[in-house]
Amino acid sequence: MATATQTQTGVINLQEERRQPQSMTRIVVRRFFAHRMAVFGLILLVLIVLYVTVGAAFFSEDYANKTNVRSKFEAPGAEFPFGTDSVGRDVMARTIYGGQISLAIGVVAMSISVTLGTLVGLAAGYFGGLVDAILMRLVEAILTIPLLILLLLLSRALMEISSATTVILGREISVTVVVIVIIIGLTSWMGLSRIVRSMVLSLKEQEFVVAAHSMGAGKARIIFGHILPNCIAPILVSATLEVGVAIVIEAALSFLGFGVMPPTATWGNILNGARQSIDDLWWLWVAPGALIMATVLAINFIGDGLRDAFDPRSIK
Amino acid sequence: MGKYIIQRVLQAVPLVFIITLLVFILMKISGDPLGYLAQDPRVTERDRLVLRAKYGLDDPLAMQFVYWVFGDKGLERQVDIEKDGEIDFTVVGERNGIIRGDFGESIRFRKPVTEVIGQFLPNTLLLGTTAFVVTIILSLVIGVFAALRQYTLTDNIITAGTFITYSMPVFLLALILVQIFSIQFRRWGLPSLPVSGMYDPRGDQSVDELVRHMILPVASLALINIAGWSRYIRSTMLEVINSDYIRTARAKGISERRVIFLHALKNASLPLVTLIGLNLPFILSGAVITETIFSWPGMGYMYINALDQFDASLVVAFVLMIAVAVVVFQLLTDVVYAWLDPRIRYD
Repeated sequence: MATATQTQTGVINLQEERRQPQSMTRIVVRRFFAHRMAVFGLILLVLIVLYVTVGAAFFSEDYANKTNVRSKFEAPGAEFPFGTDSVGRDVMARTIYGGQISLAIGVVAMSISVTLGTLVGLAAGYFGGLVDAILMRLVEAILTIPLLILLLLLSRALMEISSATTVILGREISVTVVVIVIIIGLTSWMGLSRIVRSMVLSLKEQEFVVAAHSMGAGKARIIFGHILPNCIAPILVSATLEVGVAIVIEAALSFLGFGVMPPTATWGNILNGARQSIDDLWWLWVAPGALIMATVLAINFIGDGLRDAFDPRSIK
Repeated sequence: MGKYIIQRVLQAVPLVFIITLLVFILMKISGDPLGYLAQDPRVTERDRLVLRAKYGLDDPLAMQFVYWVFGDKGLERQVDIEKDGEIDFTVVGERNGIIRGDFGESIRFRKPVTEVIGQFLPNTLLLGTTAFVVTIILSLVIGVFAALRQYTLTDNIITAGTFITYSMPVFLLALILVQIFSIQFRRWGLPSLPVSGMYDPRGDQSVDELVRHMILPVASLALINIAGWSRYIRSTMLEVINSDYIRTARAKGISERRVIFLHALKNASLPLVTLIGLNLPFILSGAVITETIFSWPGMGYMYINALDQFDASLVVAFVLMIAVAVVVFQLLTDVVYAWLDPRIRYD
């Protein structure tokens, strides 16, 4: 009896659900959580964030930056789970504080590049003509220079090799962090601007935009109120992936010695220590390397999941 | 077709101009090109002013750009050291301009930049081309193999493998390879691979030695690219295999091998042309990270050292050369694609 009722309620609910229109956000969230790899990526990312935040409760930042020549190059053991580096700093403590900086660089650089990419794409697509021609030639021109080569040049141009520090959110951080964030943000918006532009080109001819225009809506209102909300899917997907790209690029720059300077740690500049020694000092790069890879893998999975969740062709 | 080529060339001209302007701006914000003189006590104020005049560093920015591109040969610049209105000496410009291939002199190597690049370029081409060929062959094999076994265990394993390598930064992969094939192999008494340079400084410069030195850098470069490329080939191959003409070919009783390798692969390799064409110029730029890790004396290695030593003219020539190569290869790719694909009509 009970089973029968349940089945019946189930059927009714299902039909009601089918009748009730669902909001876009709800559909996307439901589909995202149905994507196994995306959920795996999300869990992995949460674990990494927990590692760099909860871990900070066990070590102070001063401890992470403190050098002690007597305990240099110690292999992982009871006292130092991840060993120590060339000046005796605890690698585990450094991956925790370095992780905070690496993740923060990823997020802030992404915000800069997504804002720029969206604005350029909207302007080029909506205004067309000369504005479009100039902006798109600029995009093409920047894309002809390989990203790493451009960033190395900018980094060298803008950065004095110095140990200057500045205080951000109550923490003393090397100024090079700020420089790196800005140059990564300024050099990675081109892909998104092309995507947004092409979407705007088709959106601006559609009835709802024409209607808004004929009702006297201003340019700003049409662009930000009517066109932008319809571009949100590709913007969110590339914002997600951009965090991973920015983290890898920061790591590559720091690894080559053109990135964030000590004492501030990042996953990249911990790896830089491994570059200078050919000896068997695997613990210098295994932990930060694995963390970078896990983060990027998690972000790529989440990005893939978001892309599928937003894709209208994959309605389930 | 001819009209299309002319049209594409004309489109490339403003692009090259913008790139040149961008590189010029980058050069200007990189600071004073004569900054290195300040550390040299033998250089007097007079020498410094002569050099500033020689390179036209006090000209208006727009004119500096024009002289940099077209040269300032024979142009006289008057220098007034005390700023008293009295001309102390005149300096004659000597540059031919980058448009004639004159990128100036490298301050570190003390010879023309083009010569320095000519010295490093062959090493990069050797490493880059080998890695490129290995990448294409292996990703074709893996991509086609995975496509023919879609959603089987093998395909899933390949997918997982490519996803992991795809997320792996190249420096991490290189460090792992060094750890395994150099450090651990030596410890286990196995023949270990060298990790630095092109030849052993104590050994002979034989081809054998060169190949041994190339294995690890080529492997790191190729493995990273294979991940992305094989995914791409798998998806284009899947698209082709599921199309009607393949079904027709199978229905006609053509052997499966012939269907796959003749009918399917031919069409699936069209997008590959674009991929190859657009990636070829990046061989020139060298692999900065890989060359640095393995101390391979190529373009990327040269670039990092030039940046370290503020060798501005070398840096600028390198960046501009790659950018122009990218434009040229984009053009060539478009033309080759139009020629290969009969569905594309440009007139």
